[in-house]
Amino acid sequence: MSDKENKSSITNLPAFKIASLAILIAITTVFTFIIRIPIVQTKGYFNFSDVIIFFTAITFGPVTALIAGGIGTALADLLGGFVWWVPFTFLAHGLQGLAVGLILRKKISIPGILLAFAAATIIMAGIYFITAGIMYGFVLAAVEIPWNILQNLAGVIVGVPLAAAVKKAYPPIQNYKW
Amino acid sequence: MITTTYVPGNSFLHKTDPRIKTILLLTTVPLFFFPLSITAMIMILILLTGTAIYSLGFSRFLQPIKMILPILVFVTILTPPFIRGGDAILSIGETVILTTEGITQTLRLILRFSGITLSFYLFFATTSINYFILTLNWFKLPYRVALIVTIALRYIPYMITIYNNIKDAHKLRGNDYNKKKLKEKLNSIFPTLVSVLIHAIKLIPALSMALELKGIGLETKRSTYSVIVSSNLALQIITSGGIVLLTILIALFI
Repeated sequence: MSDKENKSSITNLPAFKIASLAILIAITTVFTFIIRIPIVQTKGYFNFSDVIIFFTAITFGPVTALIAGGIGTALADLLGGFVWWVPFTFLAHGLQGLAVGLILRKKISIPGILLAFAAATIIMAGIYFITAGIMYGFVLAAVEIPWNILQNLAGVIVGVPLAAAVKKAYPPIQNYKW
Repeated sequence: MITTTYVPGNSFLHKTDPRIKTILLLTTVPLFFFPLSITAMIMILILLTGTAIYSLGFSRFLQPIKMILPILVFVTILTPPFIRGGDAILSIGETVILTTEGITQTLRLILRFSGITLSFYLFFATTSINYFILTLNWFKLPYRVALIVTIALRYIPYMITIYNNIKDAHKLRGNDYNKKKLKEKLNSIFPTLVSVLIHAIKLIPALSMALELKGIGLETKRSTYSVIVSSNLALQIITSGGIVLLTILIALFI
């Protein structure tokens, strides 16, 4: 059986799709909820939600990134107590993953990465700005924009090399895109 | 075990059918986005506060309030100077700092955000995640989506353990996670992330095979979800209907 046939026979199985989505949702929740880097200067945290979304979009494709990115980050909000953000986080990070996956579907290039970063930032930061603005005012919502841009920047700077490193260390992952 | 917002208890809200609570949530939250009077918003918030204290206790009620307190403080400080409508209340020289409209709008934003927060918190503090999924399933969430979420929930604690084990192993090999510069911190965590991801991804074929062997993925369902059984469902529906009606009346006429 050729590589192409093997790839399609695995990824076309509904059981494979269910398994990959479940594992990636769990890992997205853990990357968002547990793995954080404290920023001493601002007393804030970097979480790795955008890193795992970029990783998923590049290695598993846009549909997986939409579902795993959306549900995984929404679950992290649910478990962390930020329950009012759940539907908006699902939308913001899900669409962010879809955009990155669609742009970087065929080839990873510098212009492609820059375009994916721009699209991801506009979608994610834009949805959060609109929802936060409606909920507690656009003045405070605007304060959050730079932070969301930085999160996306971390997504590109860490997520893209992470996808390359995992592909290199575990080559079978190249057949998992659907 | 994973931490959730669910607080075990025996209050009337804990006993209320999660499907009814979902409808109540979907009724309460959009109300805060309507142009209600400040009095109506305060009354709905008092209703929610009373329910929260009665069902969860005062200290639990304070939990979500503490979480949103910094946002509320920022809203109070940042919003009024940007709203110019209404009569001037405070001005320095010719610069107007505070207006009546500024205070009204700030109060509206604070009440809206507190109301939405409290509504969601009440729902998830009195509904376990299992019942939440069963409710979504009852509201016709596709079988496969419910299955994916339940499997994911089962794997979250496992992934946390794996992450901690790999982190500890890397620490023993001399990896220092307490570096000061952000770039150094990212460099030290990167190998851990690669190991965690490879471990997680290797689970996919095994899990996929297990699901395949169980016949999951076929057109016919291979497993079914529990049915939500509630006592006094009719009474609960009537009471909840009354609460919805009261809330709508407050919103319309106050």
